[in-house]
Amino acid sequence: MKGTVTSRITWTWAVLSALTVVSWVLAATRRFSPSTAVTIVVLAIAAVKTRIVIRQFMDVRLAPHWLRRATDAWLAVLMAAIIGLYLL
Amino acid sequence: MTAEAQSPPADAPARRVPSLPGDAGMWVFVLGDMVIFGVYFVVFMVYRGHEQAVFLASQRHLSLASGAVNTLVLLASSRFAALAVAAARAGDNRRAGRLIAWCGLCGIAFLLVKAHEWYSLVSAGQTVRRNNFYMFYYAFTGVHLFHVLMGLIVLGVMRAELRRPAGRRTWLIEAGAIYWHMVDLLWIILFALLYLMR
Repeated sequence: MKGTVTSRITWTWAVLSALTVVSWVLAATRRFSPSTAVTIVVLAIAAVKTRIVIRQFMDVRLAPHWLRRATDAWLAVLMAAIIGLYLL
Repeated sequence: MTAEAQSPPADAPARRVPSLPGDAGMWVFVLGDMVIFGVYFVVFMVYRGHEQAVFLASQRHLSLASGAVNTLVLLASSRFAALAVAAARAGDNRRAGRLIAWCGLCGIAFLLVKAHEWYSLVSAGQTVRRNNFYMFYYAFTGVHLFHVLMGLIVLGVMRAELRRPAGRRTWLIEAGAIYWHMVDLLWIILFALLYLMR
């Protein structure tokens, strides 16, 4: 049980770090010019990472329904606004 | 009768019962902070839309490596915080205390990288008055840095709690870790907005 919890946390961290490196490399390929593709991908990766932190590290996956809904709503509204304003 | 139905038997596995991690007060604070930051992220995007060329040109002077390294440092700190909560729940106070110390060391590393980054930028003339991008950059990273400093105090409170001879309150350790994870997730979005967007 304890081993499972520890390895879940470490796997979560490994995935988050790998996603960070992917977005770092992606942004480095377009250092001096605008790119909608790079921007959408790095924002999507940021959204995925944020949700993983909320669900796995903050233990919201085990939390009451209202908290899971509230955090998902916050992330969805924020990301829709950011991507919407970027594309405008 | 109702109270009996709501409180699970002591030996029930925690994951079967949807219980609030930490405590309600911490969640009110964390959700409130997330909404406030969210509003400012949207304001940033509005300004960026108006001055896209200025924002892109200013972004070039930021050290992408510093932003990425700091993201990795905070993710490592979050792993230590999550492991500390797991250790505290399992009753291993010594291990939890050690893990919180590692989390704090990562927090200090974040501060040092950030200080070096600010120093380099200011030395190169990229100050807060330069343009709107830098106004947002220093405001966001400054307010976030204040959250990291608060987080270090929170970690200190958690360490003290673990050393209490009368036995520690697990919810307090969970609440402290939730605050720390919030500092991490806000940085994840800041990293994308300030350093990665093109």
